[in-house]
Amino acid sequence: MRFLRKIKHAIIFLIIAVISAFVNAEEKIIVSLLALNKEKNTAYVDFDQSINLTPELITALKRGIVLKFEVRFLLIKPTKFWFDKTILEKTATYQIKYKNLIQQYEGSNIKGEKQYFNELRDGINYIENVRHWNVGIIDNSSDYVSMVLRVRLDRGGLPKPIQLNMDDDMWNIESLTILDMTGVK
Amino acid sequence: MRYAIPVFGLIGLALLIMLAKSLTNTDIVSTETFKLLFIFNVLFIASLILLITLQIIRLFKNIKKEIIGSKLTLRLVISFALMVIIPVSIVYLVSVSFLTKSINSWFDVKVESALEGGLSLGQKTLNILMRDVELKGRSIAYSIANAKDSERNSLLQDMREKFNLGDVILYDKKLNILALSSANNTSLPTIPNYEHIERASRDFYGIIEELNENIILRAYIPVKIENNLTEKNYLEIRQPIPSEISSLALSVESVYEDYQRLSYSRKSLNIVYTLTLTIVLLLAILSAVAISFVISRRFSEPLSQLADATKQISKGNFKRIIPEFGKKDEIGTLVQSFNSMTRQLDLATQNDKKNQHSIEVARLFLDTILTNLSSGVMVVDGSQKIMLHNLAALSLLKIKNISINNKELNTEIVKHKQFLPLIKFIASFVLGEIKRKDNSREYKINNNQVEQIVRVQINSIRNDGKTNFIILIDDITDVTEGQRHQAWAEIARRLAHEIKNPLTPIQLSAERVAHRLNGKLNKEDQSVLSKATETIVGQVNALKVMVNEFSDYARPPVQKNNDVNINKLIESIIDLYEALGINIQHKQSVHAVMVSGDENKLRQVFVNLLENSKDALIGEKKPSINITTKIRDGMAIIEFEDNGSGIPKKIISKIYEPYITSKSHGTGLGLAIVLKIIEEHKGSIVIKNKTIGGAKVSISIPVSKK
Repeated sequence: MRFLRKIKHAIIFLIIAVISAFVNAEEKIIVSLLALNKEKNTAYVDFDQSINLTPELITALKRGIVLKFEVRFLLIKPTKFWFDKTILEKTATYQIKYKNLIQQYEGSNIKGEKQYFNELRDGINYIENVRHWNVGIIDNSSDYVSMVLRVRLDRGGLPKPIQLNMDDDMWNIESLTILDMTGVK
Repeated sequence: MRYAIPVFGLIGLALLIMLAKSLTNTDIVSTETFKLLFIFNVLFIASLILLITLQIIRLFKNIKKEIIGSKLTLRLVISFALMVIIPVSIVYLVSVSFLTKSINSWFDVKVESALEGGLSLGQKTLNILMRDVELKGRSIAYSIANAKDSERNSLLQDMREKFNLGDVILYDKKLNILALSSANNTSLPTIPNYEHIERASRDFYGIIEELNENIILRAYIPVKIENNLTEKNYLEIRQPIPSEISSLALSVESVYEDYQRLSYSRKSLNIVYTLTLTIVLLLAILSAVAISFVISRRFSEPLSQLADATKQISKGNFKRIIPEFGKKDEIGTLVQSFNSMTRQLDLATQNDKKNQHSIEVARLFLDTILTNLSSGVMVVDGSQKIMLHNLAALSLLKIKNISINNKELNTEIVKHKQFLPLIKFIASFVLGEIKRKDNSREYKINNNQVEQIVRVQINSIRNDGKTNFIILIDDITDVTEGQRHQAWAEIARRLAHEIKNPLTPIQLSAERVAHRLNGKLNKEDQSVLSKATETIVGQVNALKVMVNEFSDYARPPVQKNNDVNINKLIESIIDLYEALGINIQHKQSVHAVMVSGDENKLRQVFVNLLENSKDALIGEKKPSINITTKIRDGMAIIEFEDNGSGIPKKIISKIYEPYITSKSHGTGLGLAIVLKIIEEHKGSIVIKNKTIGGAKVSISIPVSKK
């Protein structure tokens, strides 16, 4: 206890630093639209997002680093006193990379369709807006109350040294959207 | 804690190997595993630091408590730690420097330039090919624009073949295919991108695409419709790059991108390798320091135990045995030898203690004997220094109870002048001035008017090459007196026997002569005869009294023992003397002072003493006798005091001897008989002159036990 008393100032400083880091964290992915459509028993998701790449990320992209995003959709039903029950779960990826030979950006959307763009913004736009994403089959009896959409940069796609360098925060690109649908039929 | 450090050391080693392996095989080990391993290593390092800190604190506490061996352990730990830290740190610094330089050397400027050149060459080739497609497309567009609708297909086919193009498609503004010619008839045309068409509405728009490891040039050219200036058709040309060029360009691009990625990761690579090396360094150093504690303790433990045992032995604890642990090295041999020495010391000490105890017992025994010995014993060395003495010796030589050991036996110690001849005799004997055979002397010592006969006997003994002298001092006063009394008793008995027998015939003969001659002689002769016979009878009677007294003195000890009340006995005697006009005071502290003895003999004692007092009081104006009776310490004390002339100094030392008297009449046997009776009653008598005049007789007899 005496030891803790001695380092209490260091602990307080550390806590403040961690809180500041979270508070000041810039949101690099903002989801502006999230919608669930049902056609018969198949569920389709539409979502719009705004991916803001920092200059460092753009440089990395130009140096051959593939920016691969992983999107995970969950349809859940919260339960009391226990973990939420997952009714539907679907994961997909989309990515953008720079082709040095043809000097164009190659965008691959959530359906795996590729397209080449001279401008980065065009390529980002190509992958940002997702429409009619088949997330699975739900029966009518299923009741759900929340949609969870988590988009993050898949660090597994980065070169190994960058993956191992945990100190680098520039690769921390993540967004979590939870939409409560209580009362929505 | 004994097992914690080796276990920690082994875990550290395992983690170290795993971390090194994972770093060299990054393709096999997943990032998450590596991270987990990294975190484990960091946690382990923290645990090691904590463990070492605890060990250091413990070590310093031990040093503060002055526990033997802790300072040696600290020195060994520091030595071991330095032995590890210095080389490992040097290796670390060299490794980090080497690693950084190696990583930097990967990214050679020439390689980068070559790769960029290769890529640029590929780009330019593609641009040239695109330019070629553009020119060909424009030519086809011009021809198509002026051709009739029915001729379009054949024209398109001819020109495609002429220009050696892949696919050539003509769209209207709604992107409906108006004409098509393809080198590969099996593939269906894809729907053009509206955005591309829009861009092509102004002028040529070309795009290079990668498709299934092939590069395709896609060109869009607006085609003017004759007589319609507002509407346009669009010509799309798809031209695949030859596979040789395509694969070469793509491989150059792939290598370039790999190089770029690697170049971009250079910083992270440096950090990761440096961090890993740092962890390896910390793990190695901390594990070594932790293990150095164990090794140091193992090294210092036997030495500490040796030091502790030595300390214990110096305090006299020979039971301390050091565990030998079955070591066969030098320390083990040292420990075994030390234990052997300790056991021998213990055995020797025990024997010594036993011997000391025996000596002590013998000394106590000797002390007890000497203390209880009535004879005085003294041992002196050649320089007359007293080595040993008993209490009786001090008492006999009137030495105060002080420590006289190692002091010279001289007049400074024996201050009584009466002992001067005795001291001289001892000195002469010790110095060899007297023959060894002449080793016994007797001395008469006058001590407070009481004569004491002391016999000194000296014997020499040789001990350890030195000659010492044992001096035996005996008070033989009683023995001498006893012998004297015995001689007197024998004389008295013979006198009584020889004298008493003829006395009666003498008396009877004298009386018979007086009776026969009564009236037969003349008056004058009758008077002479009467006087003569009266004298004979009177002297015979006097002789009878003397003989009786001698008989009393020589008679055997009394046998009759009755309870006698001393107070009552004295009162009855006082009554006889009251008529004489002497003031006799009898003080009784208790009502009855009972003793066991012969009442008549005791009466004889008291009468004798009163008679002596009465004789001493003749001529005194106020004659008085004080008698005191009391009980003290189990003894009946009877004291007779008078204010008479006292006992002459000449005879006071031999007053108990027969025929010693200051009186003109009497036999001188009175006090001798008194002493005999008192001694027969196991009592004692002391006769002294008082300083204010007169004599005092103190008798003490044991009180009756009944």
